[in-house]
Amino acid sequence: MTAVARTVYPEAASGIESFVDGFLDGRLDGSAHAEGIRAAVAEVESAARSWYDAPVAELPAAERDDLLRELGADTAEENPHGTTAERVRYYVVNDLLLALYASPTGGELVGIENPQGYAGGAESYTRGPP
Amino acid sequence: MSGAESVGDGRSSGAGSDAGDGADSGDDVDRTPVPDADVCIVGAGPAGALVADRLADDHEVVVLDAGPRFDPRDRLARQERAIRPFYDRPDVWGVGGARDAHENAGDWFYPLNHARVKGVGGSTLHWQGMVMRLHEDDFNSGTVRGVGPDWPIDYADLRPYYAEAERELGVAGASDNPYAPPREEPHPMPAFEPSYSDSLFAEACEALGIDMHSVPNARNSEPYDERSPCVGYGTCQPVCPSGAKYDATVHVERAEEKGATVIDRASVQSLDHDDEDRVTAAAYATPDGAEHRQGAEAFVVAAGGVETPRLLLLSASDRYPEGLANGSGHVGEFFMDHLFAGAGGTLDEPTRQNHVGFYTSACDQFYDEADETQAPFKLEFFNYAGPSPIEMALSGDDWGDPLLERLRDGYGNHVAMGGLVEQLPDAESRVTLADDRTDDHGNPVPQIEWTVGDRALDTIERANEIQVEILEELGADVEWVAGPDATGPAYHHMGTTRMSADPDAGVVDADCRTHDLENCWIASSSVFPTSGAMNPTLTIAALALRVADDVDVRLSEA
Repeated sequence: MTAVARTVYPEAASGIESFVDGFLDGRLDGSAHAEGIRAAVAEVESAARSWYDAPVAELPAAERDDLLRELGADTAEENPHGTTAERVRYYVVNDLLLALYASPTGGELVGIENPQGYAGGAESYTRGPP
Repeated sequence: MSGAESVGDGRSSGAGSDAGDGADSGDDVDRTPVPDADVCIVGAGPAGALVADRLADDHEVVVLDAGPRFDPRDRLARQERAIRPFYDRPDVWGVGGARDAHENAGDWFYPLNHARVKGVGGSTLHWQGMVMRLHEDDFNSGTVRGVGPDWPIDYADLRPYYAEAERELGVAGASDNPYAPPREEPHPMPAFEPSYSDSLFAEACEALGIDMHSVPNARNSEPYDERSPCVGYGTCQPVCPSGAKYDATVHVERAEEKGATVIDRASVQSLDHDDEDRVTAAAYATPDGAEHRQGAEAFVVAAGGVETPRLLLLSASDRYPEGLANGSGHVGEFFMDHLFAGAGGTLDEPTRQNHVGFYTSACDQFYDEADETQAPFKLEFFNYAGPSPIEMALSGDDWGDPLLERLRDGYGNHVAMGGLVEQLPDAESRVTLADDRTDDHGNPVPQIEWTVGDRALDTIERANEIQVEILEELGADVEWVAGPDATGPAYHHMGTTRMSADPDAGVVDADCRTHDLENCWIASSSVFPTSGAMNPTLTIAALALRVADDVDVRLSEA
C-alpha cells in the first residue's frame, strides 16, 4: 500500500510511510473490508511480478504508475465486488485517497484543514482564509 | 474513518438488515406482543419516540417499527458510505429492496427512498437537523393568505409544545430573527457562530437591505443531554457519527429505560378494529415469518407521511371499505413537500466551504409576504457550496499531482444559497395503493402522485430573483439556478392525513385523534393541513408531545 501511495499521493505529501502505516493499523482489523484490501493488494503484487518481474515496492515510480493504469484502476469506478480494476480502485487506490483527503494532512494541501469525514471541530468554518 | 466493513461493502439489495447491512440481525430478539399494553405506537421515528418517552413512565408502551435497530458503532462506516461513490444515498441506512418498493405516477417524480430511513430513529437518522417553528400565519392560511385551509389549532395552541420540543431535541439558536414567531424563552443552547461565508454574504445583504439572522439547529453547540457538541465531521446529512445531531434514538432509549418495549423489524400489516369504532390490535410480521397481534387501549400511528396513509388504506374492512379512519375519503390526499429554490456560483476569493454540513444563517424576511399568489418561502446561506474535495478525489481518472491540481481548481471559492417554498395542498397530489405491485409481505406498495401548483413554481422564481441579486451584489459569477424546471423536494412528506375540525374535511381532529376511531391518534407531518415553508420536524415533535398528553388524559379518564 505504501508503494501505491507514493504513486497516488501528490509530491507535496510528506511522511507517506508513517501515514499509511497509521491508516492501515486501524483499517486491517480482521474485517471483511480488511480481507478485501489484502486480496486487492495481492492482485496488484501479482501483476507487478508477472508484468514487471518485481514487487511493487521495487518498481520505479513511472512503472508503478503504468502498472496501476494497466490494471485499469485509473478509469474504473470503485466496486468492492467488481472486476479486478474496480476492486483495486475500491480497496487500494480509493482507500488510500480516502485516508489522505479525509484528513487534515491531505485537506490542507487543498485548502481545507477540516475536510468531510474528519472530526476537526466546529470552529474552522468560522475562520477566514489563512 | 473506520471503513465500510462494519456495515458490509454491499449496496442495499433487500429489506433493511436483510441486506447484510450490519444492523442487528435480531435472531435472538423476542418480538412477541406485550401483554396488557396500554399504548401501541407504530413507528420509532421522532414522533413515535417522543410519544413513547412521554407516556412510558405511567403506561405500558409498545413501539413497533418496520426497520432494524441500527448499531451506533456503525456510524463511521455509514459515514464512509455517504462519501464513497459506490454507494447511493439509500445505501447509507439500508433503504431499498422489496420492503421499500413504491410506485410513482403523475408528472412529478418523487424519490421516496432518498427521502426516508426505516428503522429505530427513523428519518432523523439522515436529516440535516434544521428546526424552525412555523409562523403564526401558517396556521391560518385560508383566512390570512386566502388559500388553503386553516389549521383547527393556532400557533398559541402549539407554542408551549414548541418550547418543550426544543428542549427535548436540544436546539441551538438565538433570538436575533425579527421575523420569527414570538417565543417565551431562549433556545436551550446558544446558536452556532456564523460562518466565514456568512460574513461575505452579510456585506452584500446589508447593501441590499436584506436581513440575515441565525438559524436554529437540532445539533449541540455545547454538551447537552449527555451528548457531544458538534465536532465537525461535515456529513450531518445523512449521518452524524458523533451524536451531536439529534436523532430519535435519544428518545427511544429513554423510553426503554422507563420500561417501554421497542420491537424492531416488526412490520405492521394492518390495524384491526371492533364494531365500536375502536382499534383493537396492530397485526405485524416479524423476520422469522411469524405474524402477531399487539393489542392496546390506545394506538398512535407515527409512520410518516407515506406509510401512515398506506397503513390506513391497507386496513380496509367491511366496516371501513375505503380504509381505516377514511370516512372523509381524504386519507392519502394532499401529499405535499417543500420545493427547493437555489442559486450558486464562484467568487475570486476563498469561501471556506464544506467544513460543516449545516448552515448557520438564513433570511425569513420575505416569508410573511405570502398571499394567494405568492407562497411563504425562506432563504438559506449555505456553508457547503460546491464540491467536497474528498468526494472529488474518489471519482476521477487521475491521481498524484494532477489530482491535487484538480482538487485545488475545483474547491475553495464556491458560494450558494438555498430556500424552501410552500406547496399548497391539492387532492390530486396523493398517496394511494398501487394496483399491481406488492412488497415483501404481499401488500400493495404506496403509489405517489405528486403534483405542484403554479403558486409554488412562481414563488420559486421570486426566491431565485432575490438569490441571484444577492450573489451578484456579492460579486459572484452565478453558475447555476435551481428554478421551477430544476426544483425538487426537500424530503418533507406532509399532508396525507390532514387535521380538520370538520370530520368530512380531514382525517384527524384538532387533537390529532382520528375522527372515526376514538382510540387512534396520528403523530406525523401527515396531519399538516398546510405545510408552510419551514422544515417540519420541530412541528412534528410539538404535535407528538401534544398527542401524548391527550392520550394520557384519555387513558386516565378511561
